[in-house]
Order: sequence, then structure tokens, then C-alpha cells
Amino acid sequence: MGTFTRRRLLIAGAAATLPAPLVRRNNGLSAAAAAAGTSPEPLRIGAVLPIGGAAMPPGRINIRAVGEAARMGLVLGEEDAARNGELVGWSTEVTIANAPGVDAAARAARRLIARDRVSVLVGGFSRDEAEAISEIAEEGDAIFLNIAAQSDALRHTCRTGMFHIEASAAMYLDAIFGWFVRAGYRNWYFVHDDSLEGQELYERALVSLKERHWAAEVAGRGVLRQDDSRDFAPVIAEIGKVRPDVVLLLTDWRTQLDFLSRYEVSGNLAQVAGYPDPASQLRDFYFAAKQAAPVFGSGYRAALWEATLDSYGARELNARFDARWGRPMDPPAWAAYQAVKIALEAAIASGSGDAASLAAHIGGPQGLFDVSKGIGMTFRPWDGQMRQSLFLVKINPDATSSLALDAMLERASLAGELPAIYMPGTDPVERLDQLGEIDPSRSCP
Amino acid sequence: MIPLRHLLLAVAAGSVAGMGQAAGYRVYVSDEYNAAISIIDPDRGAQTGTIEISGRPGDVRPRGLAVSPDGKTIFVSVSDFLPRAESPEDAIVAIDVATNQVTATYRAGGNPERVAISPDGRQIWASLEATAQAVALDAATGTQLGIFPTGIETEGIAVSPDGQIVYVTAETSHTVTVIRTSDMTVVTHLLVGNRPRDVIFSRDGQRAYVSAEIGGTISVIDVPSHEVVATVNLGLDARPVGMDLDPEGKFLYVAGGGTSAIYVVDTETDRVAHVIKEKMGRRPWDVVLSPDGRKAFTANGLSDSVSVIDTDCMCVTGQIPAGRGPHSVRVGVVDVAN
Repeated sequence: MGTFTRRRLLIAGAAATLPAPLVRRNNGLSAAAAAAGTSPEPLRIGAVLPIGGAAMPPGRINIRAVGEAARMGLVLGEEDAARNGELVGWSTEVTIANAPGVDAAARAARRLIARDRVSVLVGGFSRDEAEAISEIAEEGDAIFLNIAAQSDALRHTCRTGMFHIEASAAMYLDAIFGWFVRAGYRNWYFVHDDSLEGQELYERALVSLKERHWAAEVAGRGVLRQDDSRDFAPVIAEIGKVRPDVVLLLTDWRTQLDFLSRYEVSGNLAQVAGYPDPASQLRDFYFAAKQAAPVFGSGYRAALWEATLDSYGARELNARFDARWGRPMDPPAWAAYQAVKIALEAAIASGSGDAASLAAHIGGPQGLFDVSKGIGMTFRPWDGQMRQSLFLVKINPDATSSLALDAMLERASLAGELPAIYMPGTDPVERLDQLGEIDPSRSCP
Repeated sequence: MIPLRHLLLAVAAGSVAGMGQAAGYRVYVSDEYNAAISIIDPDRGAQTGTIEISGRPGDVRPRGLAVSPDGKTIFVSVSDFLPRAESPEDAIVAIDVATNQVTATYRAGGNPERVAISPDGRQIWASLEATAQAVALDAATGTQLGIFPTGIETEGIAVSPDGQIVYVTAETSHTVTVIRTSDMTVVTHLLVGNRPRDVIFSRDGQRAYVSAEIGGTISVIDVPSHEVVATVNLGLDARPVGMDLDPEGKFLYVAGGGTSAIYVVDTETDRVAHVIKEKMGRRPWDVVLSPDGRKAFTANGLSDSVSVIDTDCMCVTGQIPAGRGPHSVRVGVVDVAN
């Protein structure tokens, strides 16, 4: 495990000038805290990030860039929380642990609870990592906000106090099929690796086609060995034979880049779509995809967030992030930012930073959150998943390697939103439940 | 006291059309994507002209509108589309209703979104979205009278009928900041619904109403205590934004952008009395009542139009084309005698 970095409250100058105490709560909030007119205990949040170090090996497990994006989102989240909390008498402390890998993440999570007394853990950069942290959170009287693990199986564990800000694999797959099938891509070829996760993605893809997109069909599938000696030639050859409308890569980000570079010169014509794991939602990946395959690597991608979104208050959030860091707000940054915001709003609303109160508010009927996606978001009671819309992003074929903010923004642009938020006459919750597992009969404790 | 800020009394923006009509009032619509103000003659049911705010539509955005107490001046908050800091476009622009000429431009601060005028007409208040502040300006000189910290993404702003209190909403913080004008001091901040947008005081100043776009609610605030005393639930999808009261203050009209509806709330019961949907334009973002209260006009952001509502039948009776992206709507009084 790496070293811990203690971040102290960053109270903006303007907020620091506020006369104290300036505490008013509406009638739905804690009467005790309101009456006191003083700050309760700080809300303590601990984040476990895979930032790694110089010795981090290259390859698919190196998701340092994802961790770094999340760190930037946490910092902005903490700064905004300082401003927002100060207005109503709350303070927030965010402690970031640099802990790549399951074992390191578990140690960091235990230490954050024991030493830093956090009641909120943020992280989850793989299914195993998220399961480990959620178990530790449950044992240690903390809630766990998952910001990067997409596994559907993880959501089925339904652990107490675990909430998923990251969208599930099922949500991403439903979104991808929704867009492509409607655009006329009916014949699908799937590529996945031979891991359990790869198999699960493939099976969930079949479910989506079977249950929601009857007009689509499976042209075939290719299975890759999950090691560094993958041979794409047989799969690419078969794609040439079956001639699907589109190839969906249900693989990690690194495999997608390798596949794209080989597919680009294969002579095949089918479009290529990629499963959007967190690393493949970064603007760095968008540029890398376009570099690897100028034609087939500059297609459409599903994303949790888009840095060029300018509706719903997203313009202002993106602008604050741009100004703070000089780079666009990648989806892991957005998820991390929202984790802090959601935790603080739950603490303010419930009048307590303890895990039980936070979990009750986040998962309860009053748990409605504004995450700059244009509609109030709630967490599904049956799996702790945040209902939300996803975005369709088009990679710019003229993207450059420049690290200037505008150039990085121009690496991709917003192409769509699913479900569409503006649909008068429809139930908004049902609308959001168009994506992902729908099982209201089940309920997390 | 903050030093004198720029006050540009010269006419800043040019082309004006649409003069002289019999009606006692005109309807003004800020067209966010047109960089212009549409002028509507309610009797003719037609747009009669535009006031150009900038020659750079798409770069410069007029949004919030306010009217002076005598109804003769319309104030427009103008900014750019880059909410990072103050830019040269950020200003409050005053328009003379009689001539439809821009008569003054006030430097306000970073990204002014909405604007309010004190009951005596001497103070201009603006929410500064980019810098999380509210600012007070002297309407005669442009002098900055005070600048105040608010929550993040400052938006709605209103001055109480007695001029003693200013309420300012902040979208990300879900707060209302309370400012006392006598000593220009922040009194408190209070939590309201998710993503508060507009705020309006009741006619007697005892209550204030705050629309919460993401919460789908109207928070009813007891002004003497600055406490939320009731919440009107319009539904998660309502996305309420702009509001106006009828002349008697009996009904609160709320623009529901998410459902393309106007919600009419009975202020005595704090319950929804009417929902006007049929023939409504798309995504109404603001609503205003005529001086006699017999009509209401909406700014429809997605259909580039104004819907006309008859407040007797509580029904839409007409559509009037406006510019691109109507954001706010206000009524200016024409001095018929002159």
C-alpha cells in the first residue's frame, strides 16, 4: 500500500468570510443539528485509489490514469463540499489512499476506518476490489460508494451500505444496443476474453438483445485468451466471413486498442464498438483509439459522463473542473466528485455522518440527488444502483495529442443521451429504469 | 464601500424595431441563443421587433429579466457561455420600454444570470453564477454597493416588497442566501429543494417561494423567520424554474420545463390548483402575468415561442413566435398617455 495523503479542508476565501453561525435547515432536516447551530463532527470520507507509482507495470491492470482522474474529482468535490457545507454548518474531510490492487485496497480501507474514522469509503476499481472494500465497510460501520466497478454480479451481492454511482455493465450494454440497433446495426459479433467477467459480459449482452432488441441478432463471437500473447487473427478472419454490421469488443481497454490496430488494416468493413470500462472512457483513451485505428477507432462510445455536456448545470460543473485542473472532467472524476457530494448531502439531510444514517437517506425515499444530469437521481432499492442516463460520445478523427484544455475537449463530442431526459408524459423513474437490471421484487437490506 | 464600477450610459447596442402600439404593456423575452430580446405586442399576438444585445449570437447570452417598479425599464442580465470567470460580455443592460432603446450597461461581475430591482428602483441586484456571489449596484451610478458570498452556481434573486431582504438561490448548494439591505450583511443561508432556480416574494412579503428544478418542488419560506414552512411537490419530472404571482397574490404560476406545463399553485393552501398542459409550447422556462392578471405568457425554450394563457379558463389560447431559446419573460408598461 502506498502512503496516505491527508487533505485538509480547502475553504474558499469567500466562504471563510461568512459570519458564523449561519445555519438554517429546512423542516426536513435534523432539528437537533439546526438547534445547535454549530458544526457536528466532520463528515469523514476515505477514498481508495489505484494511483500507483513509477513502478506500476504497463498493461491492462495499470489504471493509474483512472485513479488520477478520480483523485481530481475528489479534490474538487472536497472543495465544493467545503463551500456548501460551510453555508449550513458542516465540514468534510477527504482522505485519499494510494492503493492499487485488491490487497492494498483492502488494507487501505481497514486503515481508513480504524485510523481516520471515516464513515464513507469511496473506490472500487475492479469487482474484486469493490467486494473487498464493501465487506470491510460493512464490518467497520461505513458505507461504500462504488465509483468504478461495473460488474453486475457485484450488484447482486447487495451488501448493506453499498451504493453504486458507476453504472452497471448491464446499463452500459443496454445503452449501447439501444443506440446502435435503432441506428440500423442489427447483426452483432462479440469479442470477449476467456475470463469469468468476459463470459458474464457476453451473456448479459445476449440477454439485452433477446429481451429488449428483438430486431437484432448474433452473428458470432470470438473468445480471446486473457494474457499478453493474444492472437487476434482467427477472430478477425471469422468476422470477415460472417460480415456482421458491428463488432462489440467486450474486453478491457488495452485489448480494445490492440484489437483496433489490427482490425484497421484487416479489410473488414463492420463498425467496431467497445465496452466502456472506466479506462476506456478517458479522453486519453479516445486519442489512443483514434491513433491505433483512425477509421474504426474513432467511432461512438458509451460514457458515464461527457466533458462537453453543457445542459443541466453540466456546463458549470465542467467549467469548474476545467478551471481547477486545466483538463476535462473524465467520467471517473465525475463519479468521484458525485460521491463526495452525495455523501455530504446525505449527512446534511439526515443530520448525521454515521453510516446507518447515511445509508438510510441515500437508499431511502428521501434520497434524491442532483448529479448534473438533468433529473433527480435515486438509488434502486433492489441493487443499490444509481438510476441515471448515459451518454453517447463520438471520438473525433482529428483528435490530437495536445494536452491543451481545448484540444483535449475536442478529442470527443457529445452525440446522444439515453434515456432522453426530456420526455413529458412518461414516468421519470420508469424512464431511467430502461437501463440495467430491473427486479423490483428484490430488495437490498 | 466598493469603488465606483463602470457605468456606460451610452447606448451600447443597436438595432431596434417594433415601436408604438395601443396596448398598455409589451412582453419582453430574452432569447438566449439569439443574443437578443424579442418584443411582443400582446394585443396583436405577434412579435413586433427585437433588441439586439450583441452581434455575436451563440457567444453572448441574455438570460434573466427584471422590470423597474414603474414598469418602464427592463433590465437584462447578459453573460457569455463560458462560466469560468468574468468576461467583457458580463453585464446588466437596461432597456427603456417607451423607446426600446438600451439606455445603460452596468458592469456586474462574473456571469450574471438573473437580476432583480429594489422596490424603490434604486438598487440593481444580480446573481453571479461563475463566482458564487450576489452583487448590489446603485442604479443611478453603477456603483457597487456590496458583493456577497452565496452557494455554488448562484441563480435566482429577489428583493422583498419592503426592500429590506434579498433572497439568492444557488443551484449546486441547494441553498437560499439571505441578505439584509439596511447594513448589506448576509443574515443566513437555508436549505431548500434540489437545484433551486427562481425565487419570488409574496405580495405582502411574508412568504417567499423557491422553485427547485431537480427536486420538483416549491419551497415555501416564512420570511420573518427565514424557515421553510411548506413544500409543494410538483413531481420529479416537473423541473420547475420561473415563477410569477397574479396581482392579488392568490395564485403562483410555475413554469414546469420538464413536463411542458404551467403549474398554478393556490398560495392559501399551498396546493396545485391547475396544471396547464394542452397546447403548451415545449420546455416553458419562465412565466409572467399581465398587469391586469388576465393573461400569462411563457418563455418556451425548446419551441422558440411564447404561449399565451387565459387565466379565466386556465388554458392556452395562442402561440407567438420568439427568437431562439427563450429564457425569461417580463412585462414592460407603456405610458399610453405619452
